[in-house]
Amino acid sequence: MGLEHSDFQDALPQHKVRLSTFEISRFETTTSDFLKFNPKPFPDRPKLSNQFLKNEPCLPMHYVSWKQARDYCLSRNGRLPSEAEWEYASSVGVIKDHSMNSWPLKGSFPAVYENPILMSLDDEVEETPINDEDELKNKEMNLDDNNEEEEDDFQSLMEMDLDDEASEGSSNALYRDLVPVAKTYLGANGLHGMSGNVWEWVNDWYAPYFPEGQTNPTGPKDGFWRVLRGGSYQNLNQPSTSGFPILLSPRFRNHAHPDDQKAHLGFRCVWNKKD
Amino acid sequence: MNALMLRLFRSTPLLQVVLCGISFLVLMSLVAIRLLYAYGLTSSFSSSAPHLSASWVTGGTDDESLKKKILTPFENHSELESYSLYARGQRLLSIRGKFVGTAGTYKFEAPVEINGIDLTQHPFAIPLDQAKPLQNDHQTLMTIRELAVELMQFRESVIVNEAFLNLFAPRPGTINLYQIHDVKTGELLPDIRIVGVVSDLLDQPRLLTNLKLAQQLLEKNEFQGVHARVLQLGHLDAVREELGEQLGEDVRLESWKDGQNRQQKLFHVFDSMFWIISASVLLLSLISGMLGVYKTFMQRRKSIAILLLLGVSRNTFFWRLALLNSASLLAGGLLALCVFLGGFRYLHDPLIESFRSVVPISNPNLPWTPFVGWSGAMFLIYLLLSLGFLRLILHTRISLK
Repeated sequence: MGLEHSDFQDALPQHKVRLSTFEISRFETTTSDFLKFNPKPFPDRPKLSNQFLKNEPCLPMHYVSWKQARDYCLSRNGRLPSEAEWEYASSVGVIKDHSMNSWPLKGSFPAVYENPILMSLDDEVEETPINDEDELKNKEMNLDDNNEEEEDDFQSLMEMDLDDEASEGSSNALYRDLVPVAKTYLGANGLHGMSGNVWEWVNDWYAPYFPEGQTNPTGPKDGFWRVLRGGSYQNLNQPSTSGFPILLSPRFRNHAHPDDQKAHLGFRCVWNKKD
Repeated sequence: MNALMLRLFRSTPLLQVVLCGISFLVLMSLVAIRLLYAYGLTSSFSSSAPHLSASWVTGGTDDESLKKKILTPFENHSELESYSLYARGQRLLSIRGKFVGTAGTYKFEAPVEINGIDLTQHPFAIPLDQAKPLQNDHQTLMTIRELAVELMQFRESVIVNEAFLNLFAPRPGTINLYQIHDVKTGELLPDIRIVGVVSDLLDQPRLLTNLKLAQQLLEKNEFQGVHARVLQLGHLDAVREELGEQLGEDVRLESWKDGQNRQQKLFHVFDSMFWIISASVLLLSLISGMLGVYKTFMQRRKSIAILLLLGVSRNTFFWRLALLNSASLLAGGLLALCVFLGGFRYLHDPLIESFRSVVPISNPNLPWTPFVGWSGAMFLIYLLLSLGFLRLILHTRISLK
């Protein structure tokens, strides 16, 4: 985890982390799924609630607080990913050398489109059976530091049938607006939207990294901000020195207050691997 | 015996409860206001000022050897979170909004203090990323880290203070580009992009940005010194002493912790008033309560005399009365706490807003631990003083005939 060199002190130092196997949702949690769990997510903002109910079933759930995200995942017998799990998932199969500040993308940075191509909502619901928990759990990641095993995992990931209905409509681009979760960029790791669309809440409180190697780190016991990862559709105009949007880097750490509800904050869930 | 005490002093406990309740409601409100004020000030300075500023006594310079000399102690100090050379100056500027249409075009002329620090490494020497962000193109308020990247990546991005923002009419709510002219020469300076607003408690309009843009706006290539932030604020004095020894007499070291800001001086005035009013409320309430006890004591002196003649010691009498008194004060204190907690939820925001119209503090939550500590300490003082008064009354040589 972390980086060897960075302009951001909180990305330092690079350190080893060992994780247990876990399952992660292929997509960001959608509005429709979330509204089934909590039909009135914004009791103080009726206009926003109505907007969600009417228009946006397949978009990622946004304007969601950390607490709401946590409760949703718990209701699905899952949880929010730890920061280490999220970083690994965004990098697995992509970054062999973990010192690289690379992208969970296929080789190069994708094109950026100003206007998203919205899919038919009816088709979208049919094509992305993301309400199905089994479907969400179909990705396993064996998270071990052993390089050979990691390579095997990468191969198995690549051999998985990613051209199923859910990923059929996926794009090779990043968008400057919210897009349905199956339309977000499909990385080489087989996950949609790990870069862009919405920032994703993770379970950890924000704090400097613990420099020593750890197993299944969960961050500090308390804090003020919760960590956000992955960048959003709003961050495509903020280039790094290499020309890519630095905020979309899998190593970049953002944070916000757990009660914050913003247009570009969403989440996805993880599950412990069942034996 | 307890029942007898209650019969003797039947009206006193009620008086004690009412007096203690009212006075503690006032005291708790005063403590809450003081804490919100103090923490609001600290919070504002913490998020808008460097912990330490080292500046050359002789003024700004572009001399490389002097720069190296002032930077070396900071480079070698392990207790610093970040440090940066800074450029500061003042110009009379004319500022006009761009791309906002005729109706939304703002223009004003004002002497603006321009501050530049190194924004290539995060964290910054002044935590500009903790400023309140303006809305971006998506009508969203950026997170702290997004604001930091905005400042690092876009060289025209600037943070302004509330005094600067007050010059605009209407106040801008979204990020926008502004065109700047020097009023005296009419020269067009680089455009700026206001991305956030900092509450720094200063009346002077300020503009905070990266070193390069600041130097371009000031048209000077010099630096005024070094800003630094320490890792732990509690170690500030020690760090300051160590740096002071290494920097020598040519360099002046300052901190907002010195309390030299005008708002901090105002706070000291408020603080003095707070102590005077709190002590007055506490003592007046206490004396009123004790006078009530004394009056009852005098009215019932015959009964008390009989009790004493029957063998009840003054000491026993005191402890029974003390128990009754303590129970009454506790009930009054709890009543005040309940009323305070019930009202505070609704009064917090209006209170802060009315306060902010006078003092530009940030809006922190009430720090409950010091609040409970202060209120508890005051209650303890009140209780102990009342017990002292009771003892005094009981041991006064009064005629019991």
